[in-house]
Amino acid sequence: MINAELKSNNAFCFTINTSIFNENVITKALYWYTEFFNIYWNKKSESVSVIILKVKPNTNKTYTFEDVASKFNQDLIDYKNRDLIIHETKDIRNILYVKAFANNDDFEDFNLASE
Amino acid sequence: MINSYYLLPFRFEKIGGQELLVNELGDYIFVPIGTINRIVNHQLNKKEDVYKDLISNFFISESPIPELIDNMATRLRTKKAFLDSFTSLHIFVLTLRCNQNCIYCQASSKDSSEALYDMNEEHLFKAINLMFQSPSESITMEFQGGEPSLPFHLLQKAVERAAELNEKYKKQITYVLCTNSINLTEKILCLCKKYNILISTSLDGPAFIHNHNRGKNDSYNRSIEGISKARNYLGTDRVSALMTTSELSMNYPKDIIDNYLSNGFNNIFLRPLNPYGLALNNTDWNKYLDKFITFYKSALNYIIDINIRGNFFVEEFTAILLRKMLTPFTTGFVDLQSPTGIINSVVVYNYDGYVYASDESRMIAEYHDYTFRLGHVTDKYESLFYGKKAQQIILIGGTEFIAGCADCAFQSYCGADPVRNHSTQNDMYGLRPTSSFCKKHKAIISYLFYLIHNEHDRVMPIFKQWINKNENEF
Repeated sequence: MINAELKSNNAFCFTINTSIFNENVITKALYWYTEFFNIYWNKKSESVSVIILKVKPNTNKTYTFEDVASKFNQDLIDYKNRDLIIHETKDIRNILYVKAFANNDDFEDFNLASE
Repeated sequence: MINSYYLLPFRFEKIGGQELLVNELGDYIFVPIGTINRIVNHQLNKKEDVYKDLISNFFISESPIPELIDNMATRLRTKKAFLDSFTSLHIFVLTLRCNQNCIYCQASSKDSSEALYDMNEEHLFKAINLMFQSPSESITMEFQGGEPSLPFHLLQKAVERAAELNEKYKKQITYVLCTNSINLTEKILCLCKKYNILISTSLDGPAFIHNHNRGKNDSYNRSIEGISKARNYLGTDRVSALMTTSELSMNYPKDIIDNYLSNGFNNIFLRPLNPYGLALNNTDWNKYLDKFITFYKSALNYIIDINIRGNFFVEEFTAILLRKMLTPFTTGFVDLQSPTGIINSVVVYNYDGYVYASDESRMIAEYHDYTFRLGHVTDKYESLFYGKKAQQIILIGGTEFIAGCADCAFQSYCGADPVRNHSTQNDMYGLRPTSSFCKKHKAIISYLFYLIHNEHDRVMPIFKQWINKNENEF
């Protein structure tokens, strides 16, 4: 994260270097904020995105800037690690599933895509 | 010295000041905070204990394809063994009529005199024919309602017909009668004895809770009398009970468990209300869920202490989760399956002849929502179980790929529930951040992991016995 700032009592602004945390990572992290926040995402340049998290009206919980900034920062790191694991293990996961389930030749093949 | 190694698929979560890692096979390991970062950045040293633990537990590998890949594949297949037999639980809603007035009724029951809510014989027999087309060698024929013992003639014909047809099909059939035990007559019990029918009854705890929940003054005494009669007739092990946690119940976890113990049960299923039927409109779900989690933790600890004192008493929902967390096997519990248990494991033949994807699917149909209606008992088996609607539902019913679940450390233990998503969020796919299903399971699984890690010596001997259902070790 490049910068985090308090816009107002209920709006928090984060500037993110997307060459460090790609859009996939940011999206997955933000997904869990959709219950209590409205999300505004502005792509400033090829490598910089600005995210504003605004607390939804009628939300009973109170959020401090420090807590949200700290949590969002940690979430980005966690989702980046998850992304690295998914990327590195994609092929072995496919091999594992094929080995586990592809030996049942007697299943009738229902065409799921065309119906 | 930094070593090269290869990652294997795993997911993670922070619990109790540690990092919990869970791999594709459902095996888990706790490591100190910061270890995940070191693992994914390939900074582990071969000489570290954690390196050896991760290798031996299938989290990392020293070769691109692990030597034991076939072993891993077999274990993954074992975890999904419930798919082998396809639909095994066949629920027959013989009637919507009921003789109780439960405040949380999820089945939209009708007054006990309204016979137009009974299934007709032609539809019943067609439903039985469909059941026998299931590839599963072992099937459960479960009778529900309303109160399914009210139309006794239908219950009797259903069991007799199934037994007759089974002369040809040779399946292993388990019959279950879900009854409130209010009116278990000699005739009903005689049928249960003859066909080895299990009784699954409901008991919400002490009289003041049970009667309150049922809107009747004498319900508790009549249920206990019915349970006692059924036990004498069929044997204690042929009668099980299920409790539903109403808002009142949540203040009395110990009283409810003590009541189960005093009534001779050695298990309980702490079942929350579900957002269907009357319960949907009468409850503030966010508050309810928070209170339920507190209730569950309190009740579970009380039960653990009962076991420590030498009484074998199981909390069944916990036992289901523990089997998934601590053993290589799966369970038949429909709610916690991926691909989703609806259609794959359960189907419902409703009183009006329509076929639904699950018990909850037919409940929302009573509110004119037919999203999960697969067709009619007069339709062909293939069009019901493999038709367009079934495919639409199942294609979005996998924790392995839906948003929020795909990255979740508890993926292997949890399940996908498109019906609940639809019912509570008006979207079969669902949004996990606001899903009560997700919140409940995350809270409970996290708590079980917390107990396993932080109170290992206290809980593990008991949890192991619950998994093995080994009463003799007490």
